[in-house]
Amino acid sequence: MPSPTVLELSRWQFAVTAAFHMSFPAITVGLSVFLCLNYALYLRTRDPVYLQIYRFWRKIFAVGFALGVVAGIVLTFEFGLNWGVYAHDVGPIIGVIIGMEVATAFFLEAGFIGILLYGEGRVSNRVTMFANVMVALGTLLSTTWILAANSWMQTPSGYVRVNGQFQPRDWVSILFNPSFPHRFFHMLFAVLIAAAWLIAGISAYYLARRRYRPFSRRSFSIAMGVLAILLPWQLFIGDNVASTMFIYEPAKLITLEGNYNSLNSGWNVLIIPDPQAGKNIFQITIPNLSSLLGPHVLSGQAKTPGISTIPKDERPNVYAVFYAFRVMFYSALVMFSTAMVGLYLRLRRKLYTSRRFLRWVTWTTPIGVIAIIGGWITAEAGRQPWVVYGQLRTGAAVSHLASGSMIFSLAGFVALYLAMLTAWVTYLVRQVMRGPDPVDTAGTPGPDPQGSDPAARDRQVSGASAPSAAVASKA
Amino acid sequence: MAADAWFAVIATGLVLYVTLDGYDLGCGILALAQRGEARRRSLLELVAPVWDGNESWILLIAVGLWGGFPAASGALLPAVYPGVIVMIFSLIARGVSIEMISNARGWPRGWGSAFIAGSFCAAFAQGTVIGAVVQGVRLGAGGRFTGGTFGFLSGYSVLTGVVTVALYALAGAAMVKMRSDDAALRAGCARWGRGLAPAAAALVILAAALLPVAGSPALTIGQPLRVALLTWACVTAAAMFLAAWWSFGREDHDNLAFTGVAIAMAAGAAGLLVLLYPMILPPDLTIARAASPPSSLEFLLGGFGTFVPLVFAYNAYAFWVLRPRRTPPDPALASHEPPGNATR
Repeated sequence: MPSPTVLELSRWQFAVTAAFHMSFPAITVGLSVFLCLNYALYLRTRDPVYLQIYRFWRKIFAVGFALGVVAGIVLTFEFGLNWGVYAHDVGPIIGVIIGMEVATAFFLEAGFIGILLYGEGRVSNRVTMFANVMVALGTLLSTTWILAANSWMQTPSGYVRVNGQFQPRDWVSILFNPSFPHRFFHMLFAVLIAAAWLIAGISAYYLARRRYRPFSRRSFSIAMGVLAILLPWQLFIGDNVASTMFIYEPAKLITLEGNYNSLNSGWNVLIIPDPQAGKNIFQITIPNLSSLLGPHVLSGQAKTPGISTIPKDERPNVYAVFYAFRVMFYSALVMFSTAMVGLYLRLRRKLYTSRRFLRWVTWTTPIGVIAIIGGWITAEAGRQPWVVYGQLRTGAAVSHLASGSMIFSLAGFVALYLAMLTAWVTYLVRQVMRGPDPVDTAGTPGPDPQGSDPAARDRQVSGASAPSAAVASKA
Repeated sequence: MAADAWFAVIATGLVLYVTLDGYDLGCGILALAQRGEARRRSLLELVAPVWDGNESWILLIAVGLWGGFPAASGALLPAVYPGVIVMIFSLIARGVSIEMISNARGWPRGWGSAFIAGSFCAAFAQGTVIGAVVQGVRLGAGGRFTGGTFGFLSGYSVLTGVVTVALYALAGAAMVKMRSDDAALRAGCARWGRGLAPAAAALVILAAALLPVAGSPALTIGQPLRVALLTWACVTAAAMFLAAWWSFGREDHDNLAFTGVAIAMAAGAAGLLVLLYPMILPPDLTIARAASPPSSLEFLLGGFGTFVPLVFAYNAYAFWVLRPRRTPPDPALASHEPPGNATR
């Protein structure tokens, strides 16, 4: 019924807006935990370095959080705007889960973020600490609900269908659907890793240039320590996600392996598929490796089932799933090896001085976010052509819209998001170039430019310096 | 029963949203009329700490409608697609510009224009969507929207758009009177409030008078309880408009203007919902027809019943703690931050 153009444009719009939104929680969830940790350490030790770390990362958290919120509001509306049939059919389940996310998590963050950002000097340290904990709790709860909702779309359970509508039968099995536990921990670790990598990358930049030594050493130490602990676990959890996927969503796993026939036990490094003919035009394969990585058969003889075993009208896009998975997987391997080298350097007491290592970490700063986006593209493109796996096709879920309005909105989102991304990256770079504010060693108190207005003064703490603000107002 | 209770929750969300984000967007609209960096900045500083909290109530409406009344959400949103998209674009542009301006100094031109235009367009778009709901959305086979792209735009929905802009600007002026300590801004906004109050009231009366002609025939007005409730809403709104208008003309009674405008807008929104009930999207969808099954509604009601009182509590606390003060903050509370050291 709806035209194929509207379906394609709606899918692209959702992909663009969801990926853009995701890149903010990808770092702000972890940053909120990091802020908590540093403020708690500051209150315990009264070491001003922790306060300096806290204030520097709070500035970055503030803008990332705000951008994530506005980009998230978009998604809430989009379910109904572009996917009216989906909204009608899954509303009693997914709509309710997202509703609970708003009530428990989102309102918690939104209520306490003001105190976290503007409360210093107005509330006691303990209230600031409490606000930090509540914001971090909010981001973690939010991750839980969102993963429950998305996992239900991957492995639906606990429902009955009445006139096409999915209606809840058992909330426990809806929320704790088969893929939820693995995918939740996978995502939780992923966001903590992505934030830690951002912190490590920027601290390494300072360390390599011998700037802000106590600040950057402490940040780098915490971040690399967290990464060395989390990354081995993340590989293990990721392996579990794949095992569950093979049971419940075999088409996705088969597609990400990238074989059409079921004869290959090797690992495909590169393929050029021909979906029409149902074969790979070209492929580079490492023999026996897939047997080891997939079903863990050490003989190397276990063969991967091929895409030909999936009915033709139920196959996901091979390019998207195969390469998005590899972006995630190779990023994870790079991060794991780097974290282990970091551990080795720490034991050799060279962690803060090995320039080559510090440069490498600086250059890989966004790798955690890239891995998360790759993972989500694998998850979402791999579920196609279903929006609720095995139950509701994406093509049947789309709204009746004119292609003209889709072109208008998609073009608008792309333009707006490019502008926002530019502003965000510029802001990040500018904050990094400016560096952390000194906390207790600032000998000369600067003139207060805005009189005695405490609100303005407070904002200055979390705001940009005079020179960069002058640049901003000229731009 | 559960469906009616959930309708009441969404109604509360709507009332909260228009009173809270209303003043917030209104400050942005008023910035158009204010000359000079300092005044505009004072306006922005009223908004900066609270905008995302205020805006979050729109999520309650969007998500409450989806989870509780999926049929209404799936039918209404495609029908008003361009309006909602313009609102989203505006809210984004505005949210980002608030953060950018408050992290810069002075009044950066580009971000400043985005702040003003975003506030204006978001208010107007919201008004047109409300007008479209009152006028009704015809549904096709299977309860799906199958109409045209700009079917929701009409003379009447443009009028409701203008009404919304005027009301929000009035709420913004009242908020300035209540909370800003910038004397020049307060004087300027009081003048605007004095003029806007009668203008907004006239527009509201015009929109209400046109309702029997322009509104959906599915809406019924003449039942005793409904007439009584609507009369009360009108009387309250009228009295509160008068109180606000009186307060704008005086140097004192700073809280009365905002209280008046807020109660008047709440009464107006409540009146609109009384008019709509038991429809949720006239002429085809009633609350009962659009509702999710009881198991969904009960889960939602249980969750919201537990958490929303807490949400009120900590939002009220944050609102109180972050109020602008006429005296510097107590240094004893900021032991780690020696006075004068905070700037650099």
